[in-house]
Amino acid sequence: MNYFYHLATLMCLYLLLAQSMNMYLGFTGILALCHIAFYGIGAYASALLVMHGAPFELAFLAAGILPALLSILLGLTSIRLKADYLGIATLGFAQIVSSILQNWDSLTRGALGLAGIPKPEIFGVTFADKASFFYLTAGITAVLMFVMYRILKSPFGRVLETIRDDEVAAMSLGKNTVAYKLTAFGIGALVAGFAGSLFAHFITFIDPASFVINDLSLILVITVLGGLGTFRGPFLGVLAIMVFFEPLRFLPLPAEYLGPLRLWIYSLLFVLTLRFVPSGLGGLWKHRSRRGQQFTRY
Amino acid sequence: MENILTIRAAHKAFGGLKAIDGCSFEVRRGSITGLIGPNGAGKTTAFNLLTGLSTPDSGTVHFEGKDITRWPTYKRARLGLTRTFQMIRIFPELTVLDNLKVALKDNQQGLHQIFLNQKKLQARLTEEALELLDTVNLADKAHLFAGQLSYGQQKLLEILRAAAMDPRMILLDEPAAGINRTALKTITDLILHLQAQGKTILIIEHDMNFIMQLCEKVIVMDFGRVIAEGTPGDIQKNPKVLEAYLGRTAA
Amino acid sequence: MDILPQLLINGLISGSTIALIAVGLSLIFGVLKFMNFAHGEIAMLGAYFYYYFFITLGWPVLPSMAITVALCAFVGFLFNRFIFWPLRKESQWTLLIVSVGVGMLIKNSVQLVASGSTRTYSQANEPSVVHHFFGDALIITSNQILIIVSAFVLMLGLFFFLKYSKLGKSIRALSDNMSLAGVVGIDIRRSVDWIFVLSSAIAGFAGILIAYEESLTPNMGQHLSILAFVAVILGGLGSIPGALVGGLLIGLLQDVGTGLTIGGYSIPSSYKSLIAFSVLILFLLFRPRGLFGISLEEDKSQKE
Repeated sequence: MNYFYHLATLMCLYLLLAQSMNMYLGFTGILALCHIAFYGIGAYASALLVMHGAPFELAFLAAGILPALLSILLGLTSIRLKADYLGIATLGFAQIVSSILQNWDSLTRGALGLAGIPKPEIFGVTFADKASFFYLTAGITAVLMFVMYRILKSPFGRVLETIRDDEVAAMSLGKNTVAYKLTAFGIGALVAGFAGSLFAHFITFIDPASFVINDLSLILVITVLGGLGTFRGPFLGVLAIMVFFEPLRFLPLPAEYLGPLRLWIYSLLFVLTLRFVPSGLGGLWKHRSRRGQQFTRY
Repeated sequence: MENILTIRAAHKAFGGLKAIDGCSFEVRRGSITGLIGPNGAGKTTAFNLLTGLSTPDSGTVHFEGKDITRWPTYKRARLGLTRTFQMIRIFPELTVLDNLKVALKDNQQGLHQIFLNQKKLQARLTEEALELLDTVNLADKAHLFAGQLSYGQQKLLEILRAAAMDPRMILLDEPAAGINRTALKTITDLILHLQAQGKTILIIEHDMNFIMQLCEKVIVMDFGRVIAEGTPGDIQKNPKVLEAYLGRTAA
Repeated sequence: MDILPQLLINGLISGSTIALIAVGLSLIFGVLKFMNFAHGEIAMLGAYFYYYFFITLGWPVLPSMAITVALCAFVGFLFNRFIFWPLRKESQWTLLIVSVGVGMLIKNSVQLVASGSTRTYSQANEPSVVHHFFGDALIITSNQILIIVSAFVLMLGLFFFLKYSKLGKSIRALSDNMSLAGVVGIDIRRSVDWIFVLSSAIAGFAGILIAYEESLTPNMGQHLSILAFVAVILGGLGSIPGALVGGLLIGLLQDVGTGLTIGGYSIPSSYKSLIAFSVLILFLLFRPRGLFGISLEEDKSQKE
């Protein structure tokens, strides 16, 4: 039963990560590749604050706000750029974050990582065992998913989609596209930071290796397999990954092969999905338009 | 307030190429004005300067008496200056209806408005968008994805979307290019309808019949500057204009 | 400042390998108009192939190099033929994100087969001959001399190839105007295949050179991609000489930047990647057209 709660908690975290990435990648068309960095910053911020005596509520908030602020700063320098430039700038940002986590020994304890992160305590209730932690995570996930649902289905969300489809046209209709993009990016980072905080207190041990770019493959494959730019996509993606690929864990293979094998399958799946079913599982329901005939989209 | 839009002594170079070289003209409020010239004369670049997709190296742009030379595109659009594009720029993955609704003025698109109950407002906006579609007989296509429309229908939708913003002035970049006769009639009617609402229209077009039939004034550009302007009748007789077109054809 | 000559040489070494990767990136950008995020991974793959043939199987240097380069070229060809080329009509955005996936696929494949542990050529290799210049101020191994020489020979060769050979001319025509090139009878698909073969071969060779200097990890590819990108942006989009100069510059900046101590301050070498990133951000903010290339705005207006 504990394994079930463990798995369910992870599914919630992946769901949050995938949907928050979908917010700017799938809905707004912002090709930023630093989601893991936001997640890692959130995890470290929350863990460090609590370990230095701050209450969990405060640490959790800070874990979201810090990456959100950083994303705005990063966005101010690069969100106007074309997709390839933005992609490389954000990838560079992710590398910087990971090298800071590894090298700022006095704060992050470098490669040793942070051990013994306390379980969260909210208004005197401690969420120590797997079951109660799952309920906490599920509750927070539900709230965040609801907020993201409102955002993406509102006229605000519709404007995000116009930016993805054609930013120049959106500008010509009076939309302040830079502000919209920064907002979407910031919310994505905020939610990723929240997820990072939950992860840190769930696993109770984090090190820089927990947030390397490898894990980006998992989030990307969930988002893309589920269907970029659909709200149901991340749900389908998480479900597909968990149902079909989590069992790989039980293959009779040595552990040092299992991890890379799963990542390999994820990345293969990612490429094949984009190549053959670009709209993903979520898109199979939705009749998609043919695009790219007389117009190119950036 | 005779003129709604004025561009003065604008220059714009790309590398060594002078795309706009001392271009000046003005557009009278409520008019339909044509902007013509041979290929590469700088017409689309002029549109880009007017709408802020690029900024001039020197010179000024005034709209509604305000100096908007360095304004970003979206602010100009909010002041009432919008455009369509030579290469169609609709939102292919949104429905036809949403393409229009997203442009409608009264839509509540702020982040702080996501928890408002918008049922009534959205119903009204849908109504408005459908009415707009009805004027060009596209109402039955409202729920298709815009990318599924034919080329002509996409062009219509793009003009309609600009109109949905209720701007004071619309710049149309080759609205008639690649359009069949029936659709051309619809577009002509739509443009006249927009003028009747008091909107000012500036059109780039190569189809001379279209220009001569619609416009009360025509501006001719070549080599990045205005070489002639006047009524369609004057322009047709102007030797400079003939030379610009014929000279280019001969070369 | 005794240390400066040494830093310059180190920078030149890493710079020339970055330049080789950057040239391929630039060539691919020229035809398919997207920055290939998987390109640095090809270099990483080259380093691992070479390790396999040269160290694990113990083949001599030249055959090991030849088969490594051939295999990298083949991988590049396969990915183009089955992934990138069929998607060429999709938006640039799609190509970009697919290339991110291809990069992950290459990296994870290497991780799966070779496992993630760090390797170095010197583990199994005797230390190479060391040359001293200016007393002891400048120490260069013969490997390093070979790296610089072969990188420069390759660059020169590429330059003449693009300038004078028939294939080189059609490649340049393609990056100028794809549809026009098709009209005048250039077989576009074949030429794009060749571009991938060529740039992957060069990247694979660069990988071999890099692995002589640094230890191998499957994660190095992504870092190389970033450096090559910065080089391309520094040199100006779409300019082959620009990519070369950009690569050399970024190598020099990195090594001189982290090696020099000015007024008691120095940048720790663990923050080496910070330099490339800062250069990138500065250029994107203030000079997006790079040193030699055209600006983004012009690029866009030409399309319109």
